[in-house]
Amino acid sequence: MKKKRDILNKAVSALKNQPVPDGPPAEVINGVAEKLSEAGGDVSPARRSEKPNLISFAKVAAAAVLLIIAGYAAGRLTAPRPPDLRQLQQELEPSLRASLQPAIRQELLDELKKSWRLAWAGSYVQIKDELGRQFSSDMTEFGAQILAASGRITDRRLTELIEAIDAAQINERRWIAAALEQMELNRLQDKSRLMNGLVTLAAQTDDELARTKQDMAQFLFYTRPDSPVPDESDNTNNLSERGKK
Amino acid sequence: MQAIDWPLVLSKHGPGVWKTVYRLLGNEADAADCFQETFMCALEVSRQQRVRNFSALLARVATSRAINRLRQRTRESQRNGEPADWAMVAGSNPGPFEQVQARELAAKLREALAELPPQEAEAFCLRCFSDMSYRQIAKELGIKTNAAGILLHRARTKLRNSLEPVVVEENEVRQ
Repeated sequence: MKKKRDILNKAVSALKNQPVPDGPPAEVINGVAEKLSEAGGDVSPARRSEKPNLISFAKVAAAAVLLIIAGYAAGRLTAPRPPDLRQLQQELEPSLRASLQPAIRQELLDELKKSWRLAWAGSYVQIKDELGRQFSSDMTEFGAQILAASGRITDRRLTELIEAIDAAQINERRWIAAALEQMELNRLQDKSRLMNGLVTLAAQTDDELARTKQDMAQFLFYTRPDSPVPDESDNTNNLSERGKK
Repeated sequence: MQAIDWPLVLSKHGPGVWKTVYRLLGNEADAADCFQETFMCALEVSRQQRVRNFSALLARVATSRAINRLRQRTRESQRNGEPADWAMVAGSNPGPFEQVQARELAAKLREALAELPPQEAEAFCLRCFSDMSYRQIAKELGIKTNAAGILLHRARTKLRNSLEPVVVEENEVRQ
């Protein structure tokens, strides 16, 4: 349970700590401000209340017409002689038309504009949703293609890498084998040289030992008082004599 | 109708609303749509009633809209059988392990929030992300304080159960 609580807290803090880009982008703010002003968000209530709608205007117009009719009827009833209806209509029509027509036209235009705006907003949402869906499916397909392509490329690169590593290993083994062979050859040469050197050294040492022995014998012979005069021919220190012997 | 200086409201509360919607949705396109919807909804509300606390109203509306969009997105992704968000697919250079883990946890929490009933999800988000008190949440949702507490308790329990597989996965990874 404690673990679960920990994971919930961890998840909440992870979501809280996720980086959020600073503020909404300027175009989003401008778009929202525009939408708000289009929807009448910047219009003060006093001004809005001054703007009559079509129904209230129709009511006022109807009341005015009724008043006029009532006034006309009262005038006709009280008048000693009935006025000429056609003349009265001709007199009233231009003034009524002049007073009512622009306002009604304006109201109708406003109403039409409003309904167009609503219709546009509805279709806008629909189009946006459709485009969003289309975009999402396109992006999915595109993403899948990219993933597949990247997978293929990665496989190819890995194969190439493995081949390169194999080739490098083979080269390295060949090189090591050649080096070992060369080392063995060198060792054998060194061994034979050493052997020759040792044989030469042994021979020379043997030679030198024999000579030293002879020299010692001569020396002992000379140091004895009753020894005869040594024969020059027996002097082995003389190299020429030694060579002759 | 109440006289409102919308540019001022937009500049004052816009960043907060943006933060709320972006945190819940995790991408800029959805956040921008939700941001716009939030302010249009606030305009409608201000036409119908007097708004005393714009910050709270916008936080509630933004949370609600973002959760709706999150639910919609999750449903669509389940229907189409595609990942909820391509941005969540790990890139070639994922970075440190903890960062990836935190991102996955956040994504799981988003998915779990989308699965919750809207009111519970709203209450949870207002509590955890907007730091509202139980009383404020109750006031914003139009319910009693006790009911807000119950909603939050239910939301937490369900979210823990939804996140349980993550705990199991973590344990397996550690072993």
